[in-house]
Amino acid sequence: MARAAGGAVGAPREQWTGQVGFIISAIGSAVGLGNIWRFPGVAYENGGGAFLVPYIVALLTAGIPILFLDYAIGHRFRGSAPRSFRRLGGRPLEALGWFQAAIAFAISLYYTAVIAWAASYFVFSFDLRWGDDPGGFFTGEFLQTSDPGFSLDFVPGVLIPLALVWIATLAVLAAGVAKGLQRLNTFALPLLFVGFIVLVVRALFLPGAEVGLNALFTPEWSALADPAVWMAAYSQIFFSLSIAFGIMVTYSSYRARRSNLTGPGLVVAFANSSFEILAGIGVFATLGFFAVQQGVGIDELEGLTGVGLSFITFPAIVAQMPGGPVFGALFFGSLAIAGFTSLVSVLQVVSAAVQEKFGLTRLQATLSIGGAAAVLSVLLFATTNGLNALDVVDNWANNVGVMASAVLTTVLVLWVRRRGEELRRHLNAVSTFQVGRVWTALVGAVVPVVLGAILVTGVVSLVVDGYDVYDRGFLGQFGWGTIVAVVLLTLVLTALPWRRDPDAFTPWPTLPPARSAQQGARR
Amino acid sequence: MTPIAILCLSGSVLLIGGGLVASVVALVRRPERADYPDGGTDED
Repeated sequence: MARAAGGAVGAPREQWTGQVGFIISAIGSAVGLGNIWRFPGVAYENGGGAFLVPYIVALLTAGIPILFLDYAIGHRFRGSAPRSFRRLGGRPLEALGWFQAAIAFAISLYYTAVIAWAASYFVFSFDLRWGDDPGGFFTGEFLQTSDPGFSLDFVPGVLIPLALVWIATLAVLAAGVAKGLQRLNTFALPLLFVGFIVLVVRALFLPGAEVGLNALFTPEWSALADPAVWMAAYSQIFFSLSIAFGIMVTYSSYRARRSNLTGPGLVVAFANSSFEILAGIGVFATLGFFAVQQGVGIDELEGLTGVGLSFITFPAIVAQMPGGPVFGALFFGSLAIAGFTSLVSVLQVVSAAVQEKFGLTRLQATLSIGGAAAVLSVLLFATTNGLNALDVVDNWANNVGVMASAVLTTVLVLWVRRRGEELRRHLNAVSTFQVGRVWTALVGAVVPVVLGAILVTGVVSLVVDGYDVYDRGFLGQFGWGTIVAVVLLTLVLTALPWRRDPDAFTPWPTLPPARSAQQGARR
Repeated sequence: MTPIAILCLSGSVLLIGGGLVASVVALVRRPERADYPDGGTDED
């Protein structure tokens, strides 16, 4: 008897309504905060126009190949990350699936907080509430940031919007794949694109815009000889595409079996990168205006990426700009929408996993997982320690957790279980764009080597140098503590019994050396 | 803008945007395979 992802006995598995619905939802997942606040600064700091060379190489040799790998696993083995990996390679790989779901859970805790901040700043834009001291307003009046350390001093100005974001998120998840996730993206993605294009056009007509664009696009060709620049490009592509932590495995499992995978995958990958280029143009045209207003060079500006760019530098610019409130509303509205459509995809990874493992209905899973996540999110990120905690948890979850997940996925699937050829043939059996053996070589060799180097370098740096101004104790609690919690969750959830045997399954289409999951589980 | 910056901006838009247009056009022309393997009409 079939049990749907929704948990109702006998009901078919949830599905997107069609190809367009899947593509829009996958783009909504990929286009997130990183496209707007990370790519422009990373490109500028890593060779400007020359950065586009390693960026495109990374897109073609790692981003798209891993995206296809995720699609193939989820589509062939018809489940969330734990169930798909279980069917692919038995209990050891089920643990990898839970590792991915646990990372997604950790990321959702702070991602929600950033969306709450962006939503608050959307409202603040209309009366430019940060005044003439955006930095002081952000860390002082708004976040009431304390010294790093666990705190239970809640900040009502963060707590209330954070609670509202959680309620909205749980409502979308409870509505399901087609009526929740897809409907949200069908409405939000066009709104995001239109709003952001209006913002970019306005930015291009600001005095000094050309100064910013020159700074971003003037190539520093010598940067191409620097391995750090190439690692930055691979990291950017990797984090931007929502790959290797269960999202695309889960999303592709909701496609009908007879569905094109690689054709839509190319659209998603290039749409995501197109939005990054658009964001680079908009952000640096705006920064050019600000630099000219301040009478300084772009290289003298502070806060060109991340939280600093969005919540300190941009408010400062908006305060000086004619029509600033509208520009600010467009920017923070875009940030909130881009973040929200990504957030629901991150939490769907966790929701789908517990529905399948414990036989819960969609509503039960949403309330239990979402409720637990909401409480933890409030405890960690709605207090005076929220900004510090977010900074550290984000760094460890991504640079250690997600990166390790990607390396483990390619090594375990391609090297240990040797399922690369089967997955390649699965992609080709259902897709219009055929992938050759070069795809297997890329995901089996290039990706683990390059991402493995980035992972090792990053971990060594964190161990030896620490991170930012935080002391070792704080990094142990919130940084390494996050990784320890993810690993413990992985071990516990893998050990618990399945409500329904995940191995009673035969992959379609039958492709030698396709093996049933029972065989995989026996190994 | 300087000529080299314009060149890099145009190149990136053409390559990335071109990739998007080409992939969309390819998908519109051939959204699905005409020859799926047997089976695959049921859901688990």
